[in-house]
Amino acid sequence: MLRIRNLHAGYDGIAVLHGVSLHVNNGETVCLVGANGAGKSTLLQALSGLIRPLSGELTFEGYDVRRLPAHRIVELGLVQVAEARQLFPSMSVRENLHLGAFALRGRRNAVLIKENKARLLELFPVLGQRLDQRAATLSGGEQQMLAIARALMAAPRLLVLDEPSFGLAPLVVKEIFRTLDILKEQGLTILLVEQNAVAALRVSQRAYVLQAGRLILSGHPRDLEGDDEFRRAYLGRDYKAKWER
Amino acid sequence: MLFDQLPQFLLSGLTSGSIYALVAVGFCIIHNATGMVNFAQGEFVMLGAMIMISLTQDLGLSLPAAFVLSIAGAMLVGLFLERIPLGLARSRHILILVLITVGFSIAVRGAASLFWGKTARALTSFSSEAPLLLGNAVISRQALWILFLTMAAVTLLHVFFHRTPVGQAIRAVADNRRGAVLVGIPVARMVMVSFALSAALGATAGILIAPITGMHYSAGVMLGLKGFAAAILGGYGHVWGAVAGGLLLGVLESLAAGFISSAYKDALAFLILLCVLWVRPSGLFGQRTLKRV
Repeated sequence: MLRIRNLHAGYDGIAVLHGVSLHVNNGETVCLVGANGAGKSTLLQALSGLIRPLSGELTFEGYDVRRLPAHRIVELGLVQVAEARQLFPSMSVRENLHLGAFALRGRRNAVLIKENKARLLELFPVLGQRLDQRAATLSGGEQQMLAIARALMAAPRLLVLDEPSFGLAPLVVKEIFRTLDILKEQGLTILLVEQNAVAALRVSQRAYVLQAGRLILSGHPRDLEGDDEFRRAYLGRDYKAKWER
Repeated sequence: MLFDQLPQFLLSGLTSGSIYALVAVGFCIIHNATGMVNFAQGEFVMLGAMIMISLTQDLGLSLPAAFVLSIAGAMLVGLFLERIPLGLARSRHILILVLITVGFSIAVRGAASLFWGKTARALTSFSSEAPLLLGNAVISRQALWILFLTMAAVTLLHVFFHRTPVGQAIRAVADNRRGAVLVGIPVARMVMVSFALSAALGATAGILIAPITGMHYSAGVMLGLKGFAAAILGGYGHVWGAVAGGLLLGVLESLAAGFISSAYKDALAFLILLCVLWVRPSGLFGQRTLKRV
């Protein structure tokens, strides 16, 4: 579904990613783990057409993403829940949701959009109670849920999430990941980018580790957990205890 | 007594205020979509009126047909400004873009003076010249047209921005540009729509006022600046604020002209502009600091 080969990308001609190759298959949940500054956001910006890669291949469902304008990428079904959520703060929750479906507009999709919205309000009941509130007045957790719901309004084929747990209380993080589990079971393909490796590995079928612009490890979450270096760098000393709790 | 004339002053203030409001809203729409000030906004006012005068008087078109064509003509000029002069400098600093609009407005004015000459021309009123009596105030039929069509335009605009996908998308671009890109809104296209819309509003203002004040190649400058002052007064970028700012500015001007002296009428707009910038730069309705989180 998504295929990245030998990707070099960065800003103002200075590369941040040095030859990254990864893929996501239909129906998979894949996570990309990396510390701050590893190049995760650069990769995601290239995916959504916000920056143009310097070289390498980047295809989604056979389309060359590098040649597509950002809105076409969304129309193809590659939708991102970006860092810092990128909501429309002065617009209502309802308007944020409707704008999420902008890519589907005018193509006899009114019924699909309506059904989608009803399904999402079931998944995030708290948003249903806040439809007329401005997005800026929501709590951090509610904003993250709105960001996810807004992305789902576009009926994505691949949902990309950039640090959905960032800056949220543990209980809220738990709820977000529980939601991801549900989406995964519904068959949605997910690429999850996280610093919170513990939670990310738990929901994923495969994982990649990005460090200083290069992928240093990849494989099944269990294999990564078995890797001493990875455990030390990303899971912390008390990892084992946390996992078992 | 002077105070008997208060209703009269209010009416004529609301009339010119409506014109300022339309121009001010045009400023806001472009600002919200791009973050820049379009100093060519006044030229749309002039162009709309001058094209209308040519079409009705030189070519003999009917008012409604000429109205539609004049608006369309101004919209094309707005799109041209966005695509070519600004489009070619897209990645430059915002100040450069603003200066390009200043240059563009000078060029348009020059072209207008070559094409239409420098003498002022008047547009015929939309309906008969006979004024109506409203209590002890007199109102011209054209002023009623102005009030009515301005209200209609603002209402339509509200519906457009709140009830249609494209209108909502334009607001989304203003609210969070990156967020708009990420939900699949073609931002460049929304910016084009914004320029066309602003041009249409400016041209409407020009066409409405031309039967009362006449129009000439450089009349857009003052009307543009008044609209700019009204937009600042309302809180720059705030559409309803711009409407309120325009009406308030019109009324204050009219009262100052009536009770003090009409010689200072134009100075008042800029005095208000300076006071707002000193005392409350966010204007009457602006909440810029809250928005930029």
